[in-house]
Amino acid sequence: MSTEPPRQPRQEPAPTGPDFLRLVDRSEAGAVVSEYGTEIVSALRGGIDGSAGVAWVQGQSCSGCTMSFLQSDSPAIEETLSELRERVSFHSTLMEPSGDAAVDGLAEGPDVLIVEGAIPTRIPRAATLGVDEQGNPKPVLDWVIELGERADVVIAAGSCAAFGGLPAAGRHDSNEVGESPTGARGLQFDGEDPGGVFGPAFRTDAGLPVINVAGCPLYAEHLILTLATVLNGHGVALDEYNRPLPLFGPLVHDDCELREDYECFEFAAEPGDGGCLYDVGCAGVYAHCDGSMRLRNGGTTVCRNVGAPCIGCVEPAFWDRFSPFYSNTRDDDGTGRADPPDRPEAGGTDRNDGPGVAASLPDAPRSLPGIALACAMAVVLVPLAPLAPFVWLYDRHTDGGSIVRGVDRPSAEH
Amino acid sequence: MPEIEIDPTTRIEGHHSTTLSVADGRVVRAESEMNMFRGIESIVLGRRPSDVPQVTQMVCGVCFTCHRQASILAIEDAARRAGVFGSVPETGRLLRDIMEGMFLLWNHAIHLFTLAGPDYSDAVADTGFARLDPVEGDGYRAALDQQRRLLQGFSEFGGRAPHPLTYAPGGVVSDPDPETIEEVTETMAALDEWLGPTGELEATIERARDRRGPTDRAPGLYDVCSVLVAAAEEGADGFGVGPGRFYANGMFYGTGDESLVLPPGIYRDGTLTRPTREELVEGITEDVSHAWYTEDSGGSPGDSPPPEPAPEKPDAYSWGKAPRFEGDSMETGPLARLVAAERDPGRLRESLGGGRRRSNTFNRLAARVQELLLVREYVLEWLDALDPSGETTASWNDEFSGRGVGFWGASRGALSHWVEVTDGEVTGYQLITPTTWNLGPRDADGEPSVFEAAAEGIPVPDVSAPIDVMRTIRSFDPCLGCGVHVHGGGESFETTIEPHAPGGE
Repeated sequence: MSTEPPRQPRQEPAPTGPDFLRLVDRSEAGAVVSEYGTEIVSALRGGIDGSAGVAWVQGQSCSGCTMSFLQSDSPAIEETLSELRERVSFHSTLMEPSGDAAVDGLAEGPDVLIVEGAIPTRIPRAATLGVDEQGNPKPVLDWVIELGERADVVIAAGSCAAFGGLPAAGRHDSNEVGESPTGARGLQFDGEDPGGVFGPAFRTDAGLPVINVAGCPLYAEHLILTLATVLNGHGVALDEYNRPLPLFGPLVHDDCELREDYECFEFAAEPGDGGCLYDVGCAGVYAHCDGSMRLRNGGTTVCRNVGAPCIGCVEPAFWDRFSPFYSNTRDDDGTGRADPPDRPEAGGTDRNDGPGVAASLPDAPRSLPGIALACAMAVVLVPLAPLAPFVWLYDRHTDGGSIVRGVDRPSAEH
Repeated sequence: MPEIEIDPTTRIEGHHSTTLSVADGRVVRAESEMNMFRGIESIVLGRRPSDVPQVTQMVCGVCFTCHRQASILAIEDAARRAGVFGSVPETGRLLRDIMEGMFLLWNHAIHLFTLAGPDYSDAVADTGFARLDPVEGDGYRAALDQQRRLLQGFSEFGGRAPHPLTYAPGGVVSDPDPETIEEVTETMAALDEWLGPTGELEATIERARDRRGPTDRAPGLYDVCSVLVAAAEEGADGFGVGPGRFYANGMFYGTGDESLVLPPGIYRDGTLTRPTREELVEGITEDVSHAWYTEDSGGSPGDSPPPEPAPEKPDAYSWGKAPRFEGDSMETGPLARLVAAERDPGRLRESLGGGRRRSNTFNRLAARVQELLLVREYVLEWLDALDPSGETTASWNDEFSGRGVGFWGASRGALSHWVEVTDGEVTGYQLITPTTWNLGPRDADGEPSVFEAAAEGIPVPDVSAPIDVMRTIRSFDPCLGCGVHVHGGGESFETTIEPHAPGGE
């Protein structure tokens, strides 16, 4: 576990192209990728100075995020790969070389490190890549620390790399459920708790924490927009879980196709029935993601639109917080409060016979639980790194409440 | 003796390395090492049965439907035996078939073009098939487009892909309307056109052999035939020879009677049999003598506890267990399925692969191409037969106790999930993947896995580039971290596989 204090950001070249995430913030989900396809592809090609190397390393992953990345529609994955391959020095699913030639590409140290999958910290041997100097299988844990400390940008691709995901499931569950013995963690978070493989205070050479492009699997567009933005030399506005805010700001519930059913008290009693899926476990009221507008698979559809309740896959510790997945429980909103969220107001409809009482949508779990978690972490981490949580808290409260800003750079609008 | 270590094996899903011992220019011993462990079988414990398919689905982001399906089948089997569940409505079952079929097509396309295909491209192996060149080749790019469109169609039923959420115990929660079915049918029609008629296989093989290039229609068929022609010319019918025992689980319920469209089969000693559920349950065991698990982690999957890691265990070299059927290693995959189904469209294996039941690297690729063409036809038929007004799901209740097994086929071979439910909670779980059947470690008797046996004897004229070994590994379409190291005699070689610049650059 590395908990060194933040380093001084080094001088970066001026941004070279649009700040795509900022554009996303001002437009409808999906609009930026369709309108700025050329600029995005050009960012992937040119980037900061045209030579930034990218490596994609897999820990305890299912490769689902890679497969999801392949579903990028605009820009088409053929274009994206074509531009990216010049700079991607390592990706074990997609690259041509194998063996040492493959690992050589890593040794140079990429400027941008993308990690997919959780990192086993208790049994590092549970995920290895190549061999170390002694000829023993080299843990991905060692690779990630080695490369992450030298990279300008570290991106956790998907919820496993971001928060521990499935291999960490069970450790944060209030129910008696099984867990993996491998000690899987995210890069800079362990579930909702700051501090994973890297300590809460970790910053890259460019002054950035690990950027969490959450999702199980991630949305291809989320990764491409984030990557294109950082390659253009821009900072990224992040939420309290270090997810790019423009992508993870809205609630899934906000723009859900079934929102009207919710407002009209039309609730499905079984998965597969018509109506809002809240009663059959939908986590859309707790999950932060623009997916209801952006949709999956090149804008085709998304889970709820075909009858499947949201499992909250973009949220830290979602396996523990939102399971059982087919019911909503007191754990789900992350505040541990006793009452499940209340029903919406029935105003505007003539259906007053719906279940529950009139009230408002539960508040998005944001600043308050964040502070609570920070305090809890402060206690947990005191013996290890007394200062780190305060640095983390300081970060949050000096910059727009619960928002952490990435490195401050002059903005360049195009 | 030269020692070659290939780690990582790339263009597979996950972590794998291989250690090969080479003597007199041939592989004399191979050790197949799976380099990742997550503990999924522990994670599912204590959860409700209906939550378990969600967990097991994430075993693999490439086989994202079949682990959900096999898990659901296991749970439904347990509930049926407990007397609390009848059956999935026919429309729901057909909808699952369609999604499983589309997934299989997607997977085979991804495999043939992005994972195995580059080994037979002009850029990598001077085969004259520049259309297969990674990223830059027209065939490769068309395949990337097709796979994306295919999953867009799939997601109309699944909500997203990878990792669709609509299969659930009891059926499928999505309830597509006629317009949606029409849209998916159009997507499939585009794929159908790209692949062309199965009946033109032999003619297209000839066309590819003469390097005539694709006709205006069916460029996809030309490209997959190019892979086969290149493989045949590289002698792939003569290497990667496994023990010649095949095991297939049945898959696809289809629209007919209770028999499965692709039937189950065990082929050993020249005899094909159709195993019953009980015979499979009795016959399948897992051996952990060379796996990093405690000794009591093995045995019959219905009775063994979740695997307990023992990373310092002497003689162990893999996170994969060694599954056996009545003590035998068994090859599984599209080849095993088509041997079980007694199908050989275009007589590809008979005429180019040394016999339709021969185990070799060429036949594994050929069977994948054949299955791609066959299943495409099935999916079109099923879409046509899908009743938009039919019930897609039966009601489901988690409260029961019992044991069940789900046997299904992943695109890369036979998959089984084994569950024990006690009072509405999962108390036991095992899953056996095709990759452990094919690329697991040795067993207690020192008997190698199918791949370990298949690698023996492969000529390695240049220890720095054991391409036929790589071709053989990939012919199993391994889905897991796996590795290949070559060693022997204390002599050690730095292996450098030359990077192949795409597009012949």
